Amino acid sequence: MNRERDTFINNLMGKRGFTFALPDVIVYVFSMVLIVAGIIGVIVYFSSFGSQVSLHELDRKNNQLAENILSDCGLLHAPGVFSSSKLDGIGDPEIEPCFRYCELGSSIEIIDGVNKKTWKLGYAGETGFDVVYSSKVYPVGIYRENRIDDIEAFGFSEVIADDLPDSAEGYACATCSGEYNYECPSGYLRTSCELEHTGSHGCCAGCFVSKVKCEKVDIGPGKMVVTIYDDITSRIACGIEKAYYSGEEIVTLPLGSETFTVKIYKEDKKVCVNLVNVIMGAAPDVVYTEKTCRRLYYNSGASIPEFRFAWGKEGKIKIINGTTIRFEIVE
Amino acid sequence: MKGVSYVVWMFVVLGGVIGLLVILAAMSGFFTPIAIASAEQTAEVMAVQVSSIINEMIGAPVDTAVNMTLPATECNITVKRTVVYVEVPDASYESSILISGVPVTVGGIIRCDPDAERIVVFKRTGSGINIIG
Repeated sequence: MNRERDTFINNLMGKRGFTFALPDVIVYVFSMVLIVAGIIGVIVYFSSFGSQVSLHELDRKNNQLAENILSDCGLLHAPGVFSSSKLDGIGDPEIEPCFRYCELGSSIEIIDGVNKKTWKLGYAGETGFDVVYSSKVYPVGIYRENRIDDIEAFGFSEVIADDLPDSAEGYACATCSGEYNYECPSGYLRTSCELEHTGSHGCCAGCFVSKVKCEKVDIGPGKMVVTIYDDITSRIACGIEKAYYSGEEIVTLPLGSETFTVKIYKEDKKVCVNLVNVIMGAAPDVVYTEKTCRRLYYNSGASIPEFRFAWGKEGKIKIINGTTIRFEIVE
Repeated sequence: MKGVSYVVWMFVVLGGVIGLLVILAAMSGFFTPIAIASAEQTAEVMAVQVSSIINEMIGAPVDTAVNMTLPATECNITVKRTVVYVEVPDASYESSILISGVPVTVGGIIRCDPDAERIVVFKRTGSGINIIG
């Protein structure tokens, strides 16, 4: 048996055999493979190694815009305090008020914490299509100039105390919450409310009755939501603005799917962008469009004829003879 | 003993091959993305820093001054109406500045000194923001 085995090995390896033992060779080969693999792994790892610095640029821009608006803006009663009458008096809510970025669209939403009244100003961008945006909430004050001297404005069925314009107390045919909730007039805050017997104090039989007190609030709490958009409409609008000042501007649009097309046209004092997303593969193909418009901030009669281009292209915006804005694709 | 000498030779040959591969990779630009990424980050950091100072200076009291140290490298900083544009070798970056009634005045392009750090002064005056440097 042993002889047969030795003959087989001699036939396979040669009669002279190896100069060193078979297990050693296997160990060396494995060691080599591991070392080489390790060295290649380290090279590949370090070749892709690099420091990443996150500057949170949009958040910074958001903070800087908010800080400037809250320190010096025509809509303020005092630093950090908005005037409700000035907010009511804004003619064009699509204007980005006081300060703005050219490349970044901005919207501001101011919410009165007392009566929940909301003012929306600026560019209403889109948040779909992988748009980059930053939204932050800042505490602000809201100043109300309105002053009420007539107790009738409170709609009491019976007056308890008339200390207007500071406060008023009385019975109202209402409840303290729900469908028949009593709300003080704008600029006044309900500081107390107690349910009374139904049908009492001059209210109809079976009607709810509440004893309420309203006090004037000069400066109440509120919040400001600032949203900064880095989207295609902002970039196009800024490109047109720069072209107006310089004559020509190259606009680079973000790379994306080839199935997007962009239609640009002028609407009154705004530039509008229609994004058309065709989702291929579905039967039938799904076509999704989204339109956003941004206010233009220069007084030019230049018209923008409708033009289209594919997503991911570079384009050059030109003002021709001061009357027409043209867009040329850079190949 | 003879087997050990084979292993040594295997190490030498493999080491040589790997070294050659690394040299070839470096010569073919395999490591270039690292350098470019670093340059891009330098440009981005400088642009964001300059634009942030300008944006913060808009609402600052008159006579407020801020110093910024430019690194010892090659760079060009251009302050335009809407952006700060920073150019370094192999990269550039734009960072937006606020459009306001406060003009920014700068005497041309700000250049870094490749041999030494430089200080640029941002000063808020009654008429706007002056960049001196």
